[in-house]
Amino acid sequence: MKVIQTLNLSKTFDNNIIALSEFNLEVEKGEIFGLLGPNGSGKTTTVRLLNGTLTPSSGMTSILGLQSNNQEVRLKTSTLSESAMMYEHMTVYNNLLFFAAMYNLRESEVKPKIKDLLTRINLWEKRDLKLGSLSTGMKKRIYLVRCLLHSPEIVFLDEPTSGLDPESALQVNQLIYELAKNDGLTVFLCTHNLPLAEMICDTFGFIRLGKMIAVGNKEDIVHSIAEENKLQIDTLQNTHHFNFKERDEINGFIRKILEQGENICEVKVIRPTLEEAYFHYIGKTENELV
Amino acid sequence: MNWFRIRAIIKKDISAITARKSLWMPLILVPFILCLILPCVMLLLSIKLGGKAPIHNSGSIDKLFKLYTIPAEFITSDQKFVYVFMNYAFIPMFMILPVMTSSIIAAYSISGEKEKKTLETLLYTPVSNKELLTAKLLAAFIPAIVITVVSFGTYFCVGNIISLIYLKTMIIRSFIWIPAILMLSPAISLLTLSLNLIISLRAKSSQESQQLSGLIVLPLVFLLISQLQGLLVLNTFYLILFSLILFLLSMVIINKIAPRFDRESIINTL
Repeated sequence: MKVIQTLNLSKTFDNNIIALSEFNLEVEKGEIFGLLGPNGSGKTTTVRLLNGTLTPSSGMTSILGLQSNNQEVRLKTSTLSESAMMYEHMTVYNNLLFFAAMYNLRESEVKPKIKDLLTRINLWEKRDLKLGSLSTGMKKRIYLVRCLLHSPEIVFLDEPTSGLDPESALQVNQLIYELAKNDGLTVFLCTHNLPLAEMICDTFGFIRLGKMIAVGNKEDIVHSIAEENKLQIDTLQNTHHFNFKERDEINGFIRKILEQGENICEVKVIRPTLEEAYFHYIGKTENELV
Repeated sequence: MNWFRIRAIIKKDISAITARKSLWMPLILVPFILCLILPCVMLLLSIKLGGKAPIHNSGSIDKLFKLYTIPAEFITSDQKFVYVFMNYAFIPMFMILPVMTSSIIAAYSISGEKEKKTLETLLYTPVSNKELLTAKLLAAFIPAIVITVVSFGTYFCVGNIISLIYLKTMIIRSFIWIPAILMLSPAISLLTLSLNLIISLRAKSSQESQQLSGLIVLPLVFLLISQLQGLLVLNTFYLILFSLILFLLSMVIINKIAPRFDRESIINTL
């Protein structure tokens, strides 16, 4: 079931800046979709169009079968953006209660959920501390909890690990994965942190200059940039390289080496990485993209 | 409109003010000085120095006295002058309170949230534009009115206690205070808020917003000076009329601005 769909979505701002152009996307329920692109490529605009904060200049969006500017969409989704903060003068618990109130949730209804989520991220003990007194990593985890209070069906995450040290970023990344897989959430993740996205995303989209230039699972994307795979066979005597299109060709290469009387130590299939695919697409000039 | 959400935003905004000393200090100090210390010192000085440094019965002072209804118990020029001062000249002073309070709170609650990047988070929640606007207006309007009413209550009690002790009569007793506090002050507060709304939609920081809204005090200073010069005489009728005009003006501004107080306009100024 497709829970996020866009059709020829475009956004031009008042200053004639084209932020998004003919953007097409489909995300399945329960999927972790990673939208990858450099700064200024249109990731945040995409999130803001999907969650109904911005109105498209043309094209359409459908979130859970609803137009994204429908208030119902905001009740069923939540957004965590790089620049959106919570109230530093309030305690962790009161912050969460406040945001729960925005979703019509009373303290009695949401308290067990807050306790559960804060316990899962090992921050229940910190609930009475002012948010401003916590580290950036802890705050990011609290922001994530804020997103999950009303049990949304879709979570839009815009650079959730930015500004974090590698360890904290990894923790937040892991948390996103666990929450998504345990709670059956659909996650729309915008990032330029390729290795972290690669760890948790099921599907990827590459965006550049407001255009979606590649979309698919890792296999598809990687395959799209290289028609042939490389095989490396290390023997005690030599290192051999072969190009192949189909997997059944591998046996033939191995047999050939053995027939030559060499002793095989290692057989490696060398495929382009997602990173290579990313730079292949993102590095393209504007003319090539058109 | 969801009042549960609106109440939560108001509560949160007020807690943000009380959590910052730099914000709540002026909200306490200014009314204390302007509406309590200053009038009490004036009253006590006039009582203590009464007759020793008499106000010269110049023609302009006499003209000023004739413009107001002064009770018969106030015989000397000093007493008459203090009566006029305490009952009429202080009205603009009290009107500074809703202007100041509304400006500080509104600037902080809208532009301050922009500055601290919390408004964006709020815009991603299901709160509607109308609910957000109502909450932001009420979060500044309610404290402004409470501070004005409490300040007036204190002024009324302390001023009259001093007057009862020394002059054996109540000095703050003009009925003009009723429309001034219950009508003019809310109207001025609402007008300040509506103007603040225009400013905060453009301003990127609470400081910028406060600086611009500080200009709203200027007409009140003009009102105070013209009153003391006898150029303008406040009476109950004009006060009610003036309040109604301000209410209408505020409503027109709010209705004009409300459609622009939408997510996209706000987020584009972040």
